[in-house]
Formats: sequence, structure tokens, C-alpha cells
Amino acid sequence: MFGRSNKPGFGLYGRRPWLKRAHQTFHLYRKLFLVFVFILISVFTLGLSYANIPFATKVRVFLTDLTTPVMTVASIPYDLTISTKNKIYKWIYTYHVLDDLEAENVTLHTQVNRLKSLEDENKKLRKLMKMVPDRFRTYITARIVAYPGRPFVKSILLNAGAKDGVEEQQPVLTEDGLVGRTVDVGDHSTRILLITDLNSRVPVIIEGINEHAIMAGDNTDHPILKYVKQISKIKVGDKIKTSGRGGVFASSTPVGIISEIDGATIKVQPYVDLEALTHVTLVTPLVDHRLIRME
Amino acid sequence: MFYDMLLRYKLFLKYCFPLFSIFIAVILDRFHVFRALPLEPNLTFPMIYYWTIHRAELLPVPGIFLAGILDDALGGTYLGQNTLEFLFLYGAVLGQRQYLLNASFFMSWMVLFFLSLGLMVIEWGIASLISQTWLDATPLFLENTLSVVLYPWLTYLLNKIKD
Repeated sequence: MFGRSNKPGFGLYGRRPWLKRAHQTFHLYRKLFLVFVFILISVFTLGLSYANIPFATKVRVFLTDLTTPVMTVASIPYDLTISTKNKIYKWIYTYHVLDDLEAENVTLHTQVNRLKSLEDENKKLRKLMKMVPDRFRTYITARIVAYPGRPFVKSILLNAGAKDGVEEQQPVLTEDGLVGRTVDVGDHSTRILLITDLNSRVPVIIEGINEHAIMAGDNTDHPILKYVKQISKIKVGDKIKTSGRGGVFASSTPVGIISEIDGATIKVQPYVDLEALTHVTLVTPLVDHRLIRME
Repeated sequence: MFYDMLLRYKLFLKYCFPLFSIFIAVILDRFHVFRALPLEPNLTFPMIYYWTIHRAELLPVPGIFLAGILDDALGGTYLGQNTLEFLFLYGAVLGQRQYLLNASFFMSWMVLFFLSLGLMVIEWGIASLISQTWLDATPLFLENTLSVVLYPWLTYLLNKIKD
């Protein structure tokens, strides 16, 4: 009698439809109030995150660490599709590629012989000059598990973290050139700020005229050059490489070429196709090889 | 006994699916699934829109908040940036749920389009405020529009799953 019934007019609210409406309205307003409370919490979280409070960074890093294994597994079918497509492509064009590779091989052999003699000469000269040996860098290769999500952020997520030797502010490269630098490093994941992001600043040098500048991302595919003094001397096609100033990026890493000059706006076309990346190389901080020998 | 367990399992899945699918959409948005296209559609906000209309009782507010925080963490935005957007969308749809439930599909689609414009203004406003510069909203507008264009297919798919 007092329970739920299928008969019209005898449900939970009996013959009182106004009670049902009141109940529904109460639930709606209760939920809307909860939405309002969580909006306030979000604003507060945004404030903490913007102020770079360590706790907010820790939460972000924890969440990315937590989801990286899921992202890695989820990316397997996608990676398989891409690698299969590449294999088919290679299989179709094998003969054409082989011809090109044979010609390239001959050129490279000549260059290797020349480089070997130069290396020997370099060693002898360094010995004569009693030069302090160069420190060298080590490299870590990692896979990309997440790409930029929204138009106002240009960053990627890697499946390597502090436990693999990654540190903050490390340069990230591919064989073609500079990709960006590490920003948030978790135990098993790392976020890379791409050179196209609005917050990216890279000290560069324009080859040929040796003009120093800052390459600033603007969220488009073509970062712009800032603080250039000799604009008249710059022309489209000039090569850009890192200057090494600031200490984050090693000098002479290829970055891109100048693609457009419109008054004071100079745009750069990066060498690396940032949309087609699958793996990247992280350059670890400089290591003194004498210390490694001692170990 | 086994049938009973299976039924409970099915019921559990049915209850969890709306929120679970939103989390999946957040993760899928991080892959360039539609790399052939010049733009990537956003799957999450049409998904929130759909489930808020059809299964609002299965979408807890803290769940939407967590999905937003995850989206921010994975996407590299400040924590709370996209969360705000998700909560605004959820609140706006919840307020007009009765109307949207009885509205035609075309009307519901148009409402999504106008809501996407509102969300675009919120996201663009927050991003511009944070970066202290007027950002170009064109890519965001195109991305949101593409998501709205794909909404009928998403609805078709989710209707199949829902039933």
C-alpha cells in the first residue's frame, strides 16, 4: 500500500504530483548548488596551479604518472596502425629507396674516411695543446604517449621519468632538430613543452650573420624571432640554431629555417614535424667523463 | 546464482558507463586519432552534453570535476582550467534538462552549437587571461565546430550503447 506501484496515481508520491515535482526541483537545485561549489573549488585550484604552488604541481605529476601506463597501453593499437602503414609504404617503395641509398652510401663512405682523418688530427692537436677533455652528454630515448589536447597548449607526454634519469629543463631533440624542453617530471612520465608553445623561449643564432635572437612560440606551427637587431640582413631560408645562451640548450642544435619575414615579424619553420613525432631523445645534463671513469 | 551475478555485473556496467565513457573520451582526446584532418575534434564536451541530458542521475558532480582535473593534467593546462569549462557545461545543461529531453534532435544539436560558442569564450577568456595576451581563437572555434558537426554520429553510437 505504501510502497512503489505501477498503478497510476499510486506511486511513491501517491496522489500528490506536486510532491513529486517538489522532490525533483529540490534534487535539481541541490545538484546545481553542488556544481556551483565545485566551480568555486576549480577557481581555487586554478589559482593555486597558476601560482605554481608545489602541491598543484605534485597533483598534476601524480595524475600523469598514474595515467601513463593506461595511455601507453591505449596507444598500442594506434602505434601498430602507424607502423603497419609505414611498413607497407616502405615495401612499395623499396626499389626506389634502394637506388637512393646506394648513391648516398658512396657519398657517406667518402665523408667517413675524411672525418676519420680529421678526428685523428683533432686528437693530436688537442694533445699538443694540452686541452682539458670535453665533457659529454648522454641521451635517453622515450616514446610519446599523449599529444597536445587543446589549441592553447603545445605539450606532449613521454613514458619516461625521473626513475629513467630524466630531469627538469632538459633539451629534447630528434635526429632533425630541437623539439622542446622538459617541464613536469614524474617518476614514470615527463611533460615536454614544445618550441611552438606560447611559454617557450629558446635563445638562437641566425647562421651566416651570427645574429642572436630569442625564438618565442605563439601556439602556431611557426614560432617567431624576437629581439633581432639586424632585420635587414635576414632573408627567407636562413638557418636557425641554438646559441647555447642560458645554459638549457646546447649550442649549435638545429632548430629550423626562416620561413617568412613580414616587417618586424620573422617566422621560423622548425625542422621537426611536431605533429608526426613518435619518439624523442632527451639530452641529459653534462656529465664529466672523468667522474664516470672513477666509478 | 551465476545469472544473478551476471545481471548485477551488467547493471554495474550500465551505471558506471556514462562517467567511464567521459574518462575514456578525455584519454582519447590526447591521441591524434584523426591525424589526417587538419584539426582534432574534442570528444569530451559533446559526451558530457549527451550524458547530462540522458543520464544526469549517473553523472555525479565530483566525477565531472575529476574528469576535468584529469583533462588538465594530461593536456598540460593549469589544473582547473578545463574543469571549469566542464562544470559550466554540466550546470547549463542540467538546468535545461527537461526541455532538452523533450526537444527534437535538431534543436538539441543547435543548443550544443551555441553552448560550444559559450565554452569557447570561457576557454579563450581564461587562456588569454593566464597568458596576458589576446590569443587567436580561430583554432578553438574550428575545433569546437568540428566536434559539433560530428555530434550526430556520436549520438547514434551512444544511443546504441545506451539502449
